[in-house]
Amino acid sequence: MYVKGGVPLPRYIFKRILSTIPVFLILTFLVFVLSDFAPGNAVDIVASEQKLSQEAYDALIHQYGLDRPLLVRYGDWLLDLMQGEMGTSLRAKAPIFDLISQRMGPTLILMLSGLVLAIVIAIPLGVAAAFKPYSFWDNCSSTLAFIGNAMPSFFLALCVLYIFSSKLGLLPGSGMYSAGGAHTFGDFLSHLILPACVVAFTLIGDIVKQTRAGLLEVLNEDYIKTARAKGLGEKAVIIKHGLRNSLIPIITVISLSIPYIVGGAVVIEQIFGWPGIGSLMISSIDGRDFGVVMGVATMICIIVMCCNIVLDILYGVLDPRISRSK
Amino acid sequence: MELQKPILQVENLQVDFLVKKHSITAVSDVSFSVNRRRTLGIVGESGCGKSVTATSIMRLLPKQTSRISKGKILLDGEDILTKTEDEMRAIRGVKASMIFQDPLTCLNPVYTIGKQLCEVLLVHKLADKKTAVDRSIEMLNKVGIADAAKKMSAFPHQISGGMRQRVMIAMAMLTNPLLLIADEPTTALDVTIQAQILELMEKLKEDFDTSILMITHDMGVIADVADYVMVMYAGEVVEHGTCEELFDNPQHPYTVGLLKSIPRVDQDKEALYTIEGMVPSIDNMPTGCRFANRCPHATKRCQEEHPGLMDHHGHKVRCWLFEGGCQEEVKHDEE
Repeated sequence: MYVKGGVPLPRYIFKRILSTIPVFLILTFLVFVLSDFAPGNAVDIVASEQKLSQEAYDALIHQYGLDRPLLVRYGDWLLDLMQGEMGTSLRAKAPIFDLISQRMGPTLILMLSGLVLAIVIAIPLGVAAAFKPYSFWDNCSSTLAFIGNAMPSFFLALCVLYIFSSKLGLLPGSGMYSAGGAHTFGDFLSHLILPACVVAFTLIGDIVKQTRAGLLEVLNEDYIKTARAKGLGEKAVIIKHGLRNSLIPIITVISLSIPYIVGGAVVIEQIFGWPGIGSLMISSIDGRDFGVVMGVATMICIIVMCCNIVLDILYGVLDPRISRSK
Repeated sequence: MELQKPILQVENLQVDFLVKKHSITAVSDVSFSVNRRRTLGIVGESGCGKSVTATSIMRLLPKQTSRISKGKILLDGEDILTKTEDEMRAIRGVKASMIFQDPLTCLNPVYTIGKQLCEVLLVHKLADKKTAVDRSIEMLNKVGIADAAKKMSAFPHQISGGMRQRVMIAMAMLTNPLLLIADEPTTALDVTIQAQILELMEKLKEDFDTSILMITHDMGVIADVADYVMVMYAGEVVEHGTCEELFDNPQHPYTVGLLKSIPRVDQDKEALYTIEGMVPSIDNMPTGCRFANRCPHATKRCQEEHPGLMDHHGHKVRCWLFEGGCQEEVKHDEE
């Protein structure tokens, strides 16, 4: 198995991980510094809640090492991380790693279902648009793509909450399971639908546009003429020979949108009360629990990196010219 | 000439294109027929309508922007212009196959050669999967590809240009079609490969009892393979006859010019012969002869009246010079 430029897969993955290290360092350092610049810290909040004396406050600050210089604290954090240690949450009094791993599952489910939903909706729409350019369907899907691109996800989230949850009462608007109810799959699914649709809708625009444009370009290729001359039906021509060849730019668009899905998920999880790392991030920023913020930033960085590696491998699977160059 | 029924018969074909809501005639009054096991060469420069003519036989012209507005196309006695799209699909690749100019871009880069070959048989339900593979390998052998079984799993980018064109030919011949339309099949290949491909097509024509419609701008290719030649200029047939007639005794001033502009090593000439002037634009065709503005023999009549095809010495010429008899002095004049 080879990827781009005929590099063997294991070596490729190794190289990709190596090249991510500087990005990872810069990113985490920035998050660290910015968190430090933010007014207040966890101890301030604990102190004001529990009316601590000045001595107790200083003791806590010293206990958590917050009186040390910034660079030292960052270095310590990095060293701990390398040993697989993310520290303890100052607010939840629990290991940060446990906190994050509990929240990871829901986030991944939400992201993936949003992504799959977007692909399942957007690619057929794009194909329909390319099938008959400037037709009624083309205009419909272009309009939908435009709205998807233009509407901020938080606004859309509030709209669907208002319509489907508040007004129509069709779907629950908050959490992952109904409070007090049994944790059934149906219940989970009904909670997933709205946030997943919102995640999907923000992606649909780009995928529809790329599918349409890419397919229209591919349909001018000579091998499409060959396929037609062979006596293939128009559907087989478009899907088997056309779409298959326009998948690569579609994959590119998807891989570029993954950071936005993760970023958007932070907002969407918060609005829908989805117990993922996004809402964990917001609540820990609120509580100035910067250890957790750093942990979440690390996880997001790893997710985005993994997605990109997977998509890069997909390129090779989709295009034999990439994976089998002689 | 044979007395048998022709495989392909085209009568008074006219193709219009819609450009900015205006209808423009790209090809008009084209008539020809191809008999079994014969090759008709259509020759002409870019934009003369030769590819449009070929593509309309397969009914593969873009539907939104083009229309076959007049004429008849009979393939094996059936009028294909009255066929539905589904009926047409059953004809394409089975009764008539087509190969194109650039064999690299004509094969789908993401599928193996084997898959693309088998697809023809499978889509027309002419074989099951296993037989399709066997027949594809057999066909690859016939077109001279060594190690055919292994090449089945190769991707198009892994084989050479000449081999790709052989694969295209194999794909076209798999169904044993009555007619093979070859649209500039050797233009993108270098000369030695070109000769091999032409030889292969000639051999397959005999083996498979197929007729060939060869489209090219290369007089050399025509001389090699064609039994009949049709010269097209600005969307019209200007001369049509047997290959020998046309090369030995060209009549139309355009054909004469074309033959004179072939570079030759046995003549000590400084510059290549060129036909002066430009082809008239498709949306602004002259009322008279379309070649008049470039013709050394043009008269007032040529500018004003459009000539029809006239019979002359057993072949057809669209030129006023040959109206009602021969004009020997024209030819001598040219020599």
